[in-house]
Amino acid sequence: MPDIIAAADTTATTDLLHDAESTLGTLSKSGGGSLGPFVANYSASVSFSGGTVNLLPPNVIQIADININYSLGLSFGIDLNDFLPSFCLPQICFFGWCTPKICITWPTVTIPISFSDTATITGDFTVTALLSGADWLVDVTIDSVPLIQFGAGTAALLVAIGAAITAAVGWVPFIGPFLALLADAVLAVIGIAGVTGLLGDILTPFVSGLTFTVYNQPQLFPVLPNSGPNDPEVDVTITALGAVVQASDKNELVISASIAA
Amino acid sequence: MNTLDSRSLRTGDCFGQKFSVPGEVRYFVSAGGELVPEARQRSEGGYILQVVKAASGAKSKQHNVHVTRKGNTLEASPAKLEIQAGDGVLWYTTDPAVTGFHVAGAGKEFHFSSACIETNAVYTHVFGVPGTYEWRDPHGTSIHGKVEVANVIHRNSDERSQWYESLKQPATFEIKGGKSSPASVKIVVGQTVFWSITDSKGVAITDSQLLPAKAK
Repeated sequence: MPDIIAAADTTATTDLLHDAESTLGTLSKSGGGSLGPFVANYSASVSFSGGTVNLLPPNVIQIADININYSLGLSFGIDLNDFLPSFCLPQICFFGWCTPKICITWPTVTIPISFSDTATITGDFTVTALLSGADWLVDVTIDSVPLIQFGAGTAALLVAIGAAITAAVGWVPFIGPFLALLADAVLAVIGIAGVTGLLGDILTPFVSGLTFTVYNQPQLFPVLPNSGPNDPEVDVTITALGAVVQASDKNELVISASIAA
Repeated sequence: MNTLDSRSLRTGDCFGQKFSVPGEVRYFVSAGGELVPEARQRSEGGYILQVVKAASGAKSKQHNVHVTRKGNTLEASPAKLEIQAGDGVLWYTTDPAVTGFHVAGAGKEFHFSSACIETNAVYTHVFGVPGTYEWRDPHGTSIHGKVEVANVIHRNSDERSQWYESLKQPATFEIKGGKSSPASVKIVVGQTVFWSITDSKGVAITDSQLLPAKAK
């Protein structure tokens, strides 16, 4: 028989979740991934917010529409010769002189992109109570990697890539007449599928095994303060902690604790 | 590419010099805008240009010399050249590894340099980036001018074809009697500007942004 029992309904559990999202803060990762035919290097920062809780006995918390707020720094290289026609300056004669025919070799350019957006996930999380070091924790951990809903983010990223290409190649001599051709050609080979694939590769590691700590309690904590030389602080030790979703007229997350003085 | 500076020729630049006096001309192709010691003081190395007396009624010809980079050396091809008096030689590069060269040479009664152009010479430059280019002579004369380069953004092949045709029309400056005319020219990206130097005491064509403030 536990000594302490606390219960949280869906509203209270939702508040606990949102606090846990804030506590988790911003997560970062960098690496490389495929952007269509290109290899993109990225650095990503992710935070979570929002979400609506549904309590499912015996130990599942279903959370709908968690926001994944992400900021990306991307870069990838393009050999312009792969996308632009070979181009030779015509021979020109004047003042009795003729210039030679000169063919242009297009350079390889790096396209840097900064992009921020929000995706959403909905998934089942398992409730677990565990002792971690000197603290008892109640964690909710995602069961499997859910489908990440990007919404309009993929199309927006594709637009951002087009704008970044235009900005990045402005210095390339003779690019003006070919600029629209270049942007169209690059975006065509990347496509929505390429953008979705890259975003999925970047965000999945943040979602896989996603855990929110909704309750954190030191195993040893004072219940009465020190009141004098003959009246020392009284501490209590939590010897066992349990967390389950209990069915009732309104399902609740129930946390029970056994203590020893 | 695309720096406007006759002292540092790159892809898209040409320097042409007419040779009217028969004799041997020793010339040098080097990086940077200065040859030390200058060509007139050298009796070894470089490339030899033999200028022979023109045959009666012969028309003047143009001879092209291509400059490339081999390791740390700039090489001119062909290495040997025999021309007739009145012919011109035009130096250029298409080698992206050449980040800038100048050519200077001297015979017994004649000397020339792309960094200090005197007579019967031409400098050409293709403008690949839009903008306004104020050019000046870095040697302190008042010779100057302006090139306004308009951008072109085309969405279809017909427009690009029209643009390509327009590239066949150059714009020109003529430097004569210590002056340059016209004062400015307007072109589109990809067009070539010719500077014809009929006579001068030694001039270079340089983007004023490359020059120290006091020389602007």
